[in-house]
Amino acid sequence: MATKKNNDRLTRPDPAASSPAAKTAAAKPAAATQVATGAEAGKPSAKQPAAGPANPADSGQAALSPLHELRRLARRRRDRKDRLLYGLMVFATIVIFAVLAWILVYIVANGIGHLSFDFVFSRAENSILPMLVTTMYLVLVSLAVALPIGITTALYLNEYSKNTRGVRLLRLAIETLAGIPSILYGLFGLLFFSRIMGFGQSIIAGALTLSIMILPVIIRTTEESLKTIPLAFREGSLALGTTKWQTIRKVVLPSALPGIVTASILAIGRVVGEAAPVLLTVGIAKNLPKSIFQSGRTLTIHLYYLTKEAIHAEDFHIAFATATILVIFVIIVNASTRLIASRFTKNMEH
Amino acid sequence: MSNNEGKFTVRNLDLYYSDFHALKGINIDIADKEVLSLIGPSGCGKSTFIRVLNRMNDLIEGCTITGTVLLDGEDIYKAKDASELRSRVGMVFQKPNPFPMSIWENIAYGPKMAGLRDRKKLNELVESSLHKAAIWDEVKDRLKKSALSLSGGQQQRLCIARAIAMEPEVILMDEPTSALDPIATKKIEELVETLKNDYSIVIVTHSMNQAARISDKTAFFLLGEILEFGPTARIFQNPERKETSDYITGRFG
Ligand SMILES: Nc1ncnc2c1ncn2[C@@H]1O[C@H](COP(=O)(O)OP(=O)(O)OP(=O)(O)O)[C@@H](O)[C@H]1O
Ligand SMILES: [Mg+2]
Repeated sequence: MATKKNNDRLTRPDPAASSPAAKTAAAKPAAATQVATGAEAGKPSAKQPAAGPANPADSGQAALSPLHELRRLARRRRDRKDRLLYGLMVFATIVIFAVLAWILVYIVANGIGHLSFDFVFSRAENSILPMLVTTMYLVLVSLAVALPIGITTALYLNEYSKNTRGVRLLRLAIETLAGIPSILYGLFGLLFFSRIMGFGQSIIAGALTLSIMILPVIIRTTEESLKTIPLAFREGSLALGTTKWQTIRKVVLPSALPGIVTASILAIGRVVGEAAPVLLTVGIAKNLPKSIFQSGRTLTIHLYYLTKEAIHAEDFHIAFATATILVIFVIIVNASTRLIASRFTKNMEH
Repeated sequence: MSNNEGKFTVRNLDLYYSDFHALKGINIDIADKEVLSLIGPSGCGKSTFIRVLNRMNDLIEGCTITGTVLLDGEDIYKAKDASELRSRVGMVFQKPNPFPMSIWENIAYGPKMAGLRDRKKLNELVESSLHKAAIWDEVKDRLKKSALSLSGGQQQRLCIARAIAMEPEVILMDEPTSALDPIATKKIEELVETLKNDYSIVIVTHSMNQAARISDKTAFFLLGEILEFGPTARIFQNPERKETSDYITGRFG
């Protein structure tokens, strides 16, 4: 059959020819072949057809057999679909990027006029230094509490636990924690940490409250990244006579680090952006906190009050300036998280 | 039966994955400083058996083992912790699995975890292991580079070097060349030739030529049993069982 095909190459194929290719073509409406051939005439073999199992002898030649015409048509349809999808993706990306950029530009453009060294770092009356410090404390303390607990829990769930009833219950609890509205954490924190534990309205009370709130995010993100570490690494390590903990410490955890960084960044985002529980547990004190056992006002809460109480255009500019600082703060904290993590990886390698 | 020269002595070994009977009544002696190859069709239990010898199956939930496996006369399943055993019985896996660390770190990892801290000794050990695995010349200038930048064949020799660095007594290899090209395969086979002066080697292979070339003894597995076991030359030239000769000549499997 291959030889027959070779001969066909010189002439237009006969649609009634008894090759499997021709049969397929004949089964389809003849018009399809017609159109394809017509289009072909105007555009001489731009692409080489892929070698098909049906007629390998034709590969590398401008296709003229009906099967090739069909394939070409299908490919063109597919290409069109591909291009359409690709276009949609580009469009979506541009939209998201544009919206983000617009928000940022809008905030910064409105706030920049009011930004000054004094506004951020001085002890002057309307400086936002106290809010910056409060926010920083809150982030650090909640991460310091939640990260070790979250990572340990994720390790336990993924590396040690068997699928027992207790473990399933624990997972359910974590899922549930993730779905609770944050104001409920605030109420719990106010009652438990502020009242019962006697922390009052303070950064520590808020940080403990928020650390419970961000636990599910940390556990789940860490666990996801633990799951992606190939069994081959663990087996390779254990086969060298290392203990399970050594394997986890030296092979599993370093590979999971990118996931843990992601978890931290997500958690930081929630801590910085949270309002309701912070309002209840940390309070609104405007002065510079001397320790984490004092009340304070985070940037987000401050921003809320600034906007709520703004009357003059000037007030809005102050709010926007604060928002600008908030954005910069988040960027800096995220960047340093990544930096610390990459240092960490390098240390582990030596 | 005297097993004085035997490294491993396996008696009446049965292994179940939950209720699937994967190994049935295995009896075999693995001699010191010899290459034993395990052949047999896919799914007959070769990997399962090799993983019995360093207790890798401990990791699998629902895997139960009965019978005895002795290493130098001692039951390897007595100890609670398998890490001592695993540092004496090294393993090379089917797919090269270097750690995402530098070449140097890959080799030094095992000894370091075993407590060797002396930098100078570690350096010597890394160098000698890479020499023994016939890869030193290719990597000596890039020891600090990631092991993942090596080719598949180089990675596999690195993994062999990693196993050698633990100064084991036995090296288990589960289809170590199945992911490699002929040249890399040849290198590994030559390596096995020289390694057998110092170690006992158990190698699983699907290549009859490879088994015939490099091993002293051959065991033919079928459906979880050892159907035939003996000197490689005899198994290949004069198999006792029809199934063995059918498998060797490629009539099934
Ligand atoms: N973790 C496991 N759980 C349940 N059954 C398993 C497990 N591992 C292997 N088996 C089964 O045990 C049998 C032996 O598997 P094994 O991997 O030892 O075969 P093999 O001889 O190494 O095959 P191959 O040559 O394909 O690697 C197979 O039927 C397999 O399905
Ligand atoms: Mg196998």
